[in-house]
Amino acid sequence: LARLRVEYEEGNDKLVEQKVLIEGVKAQIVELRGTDSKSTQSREQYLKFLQDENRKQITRYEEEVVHLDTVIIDLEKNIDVAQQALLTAARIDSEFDAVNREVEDILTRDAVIQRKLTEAQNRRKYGEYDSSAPIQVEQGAFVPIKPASPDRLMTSLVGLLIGLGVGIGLAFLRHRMDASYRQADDLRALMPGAVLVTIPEVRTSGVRIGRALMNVVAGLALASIFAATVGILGIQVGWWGEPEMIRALIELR
Amino acid sequence: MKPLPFDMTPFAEAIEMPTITQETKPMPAATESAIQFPRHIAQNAGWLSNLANEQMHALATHVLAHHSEHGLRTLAVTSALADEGKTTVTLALAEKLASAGKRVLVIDLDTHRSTLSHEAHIADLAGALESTERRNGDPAPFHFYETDCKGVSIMPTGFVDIETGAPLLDPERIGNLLKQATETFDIVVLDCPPLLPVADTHVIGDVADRAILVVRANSTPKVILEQALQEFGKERFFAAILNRAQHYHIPYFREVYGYYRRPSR
Repeated sequence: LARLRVEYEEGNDKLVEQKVLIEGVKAQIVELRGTDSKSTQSREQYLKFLQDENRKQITRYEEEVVHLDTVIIDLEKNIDVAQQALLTAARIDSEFDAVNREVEDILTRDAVIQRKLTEAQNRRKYGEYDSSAPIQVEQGAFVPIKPASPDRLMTSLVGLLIGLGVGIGLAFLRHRMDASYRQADDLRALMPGAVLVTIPEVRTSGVRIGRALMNVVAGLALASIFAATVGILGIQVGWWGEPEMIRALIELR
Repeated sequence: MKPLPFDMTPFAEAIEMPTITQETKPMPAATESAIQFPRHIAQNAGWLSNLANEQMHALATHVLAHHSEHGLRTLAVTSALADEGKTTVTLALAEKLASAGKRVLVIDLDTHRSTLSHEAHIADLAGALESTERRNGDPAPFHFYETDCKGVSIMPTGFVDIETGAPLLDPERIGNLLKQATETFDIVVLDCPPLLPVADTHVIGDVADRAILVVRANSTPKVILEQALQEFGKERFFAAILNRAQHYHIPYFREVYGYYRRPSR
């Protein structure tokens, strides 16, 4: 397109120059015609020659002008094409700019997502949180129904089993270490020929009442301990409802 | 003659001699008026009812059988350690033997802790120690006290000087005492000190015919009892009593106990 413009401008300048020359020649012819009656033969011939030459020159010039007109017309056509091309290029440029802007937006969003992903991974890995990073609520918070860890029910069951095993072990150990005589057979093995008499422990009324009271007190104490244990265990495990609700009720009371 | 540590004058007119002894042999010099049989010891232990009572019946039956068949006259009741029920067994056995018509003398020979004498409120009266004193060839007065339980007499320990402590028992004197007692009574039951802490029982065991071992259930360690039997001699024991056994360690306890709990018609 620039080349065509240069050629067009050069041709145009040349055309203008030719036109100026043609006008000069025409003025010279007119001037010469005015002095035609006072010249000699040779002068006339020369003039005629000049006229012919000038005509020829004019004809060439006119042909050249015609040619140049044609060229100019072509050039004007080319200019139109070039202008169309320029318009197309501008449109393409604008489209390219739009696409480029979209790409930049996408890249920006991708960078944000990459940064958030990295932050989330770091948070998950190290538990850190960058407070300067922009915060966006992805999902609303909620109160968990039960803790993910530790498993209190499993822990309680394991503790119960361990306690049961320890209790049985202690009872067995106590039984094994008790080296006293409990029944007549023990004495029979020790004194085979002797007469064996077994006197049961007979509790008098006072002893019976005392032991009954002790049993009642011990039973109440054990029942209280058991109830407290079951209550605390139930709160921890969630048998009596949500722990938060229990705490709220306690605070209300 | 050494004076007694108390005044005997008020009891002088109330002296009663056992009838048989009075007829056959001269009675010892110093018997006293009837005292209250310390039945509360057995009552407190719950022995006067149901199965314990029946068990003592069985033991008394064996003693009587040995008495008639083998001439058993003196019986020492002891245990390996203290607080196993010696005095309770002694009194219950004496009462059962007396209920069978025997004249029974209970001698408290536990000079260290005379529970029987204290419970019978005769701890400050003359007893076994005074009855074993030598009196220049004269027979020592025989101090025993009849009780309101027919046929049962009790001889307390006697005076023990707190400053000098319990005296050492002489086997010869104890032998003479038992010989004298068996001349008067059918059966003599000795309430002895425990085997291991005190050496007196070994002396008594040498002169007594047989012995009865009292073992408190769930209390006396086997090692202790085996050591006591080894030192005393296992063959000397006529019977063994497992005292205060838990009912669930007694076979068919509920059936037997239920029988005794039924009211008699």
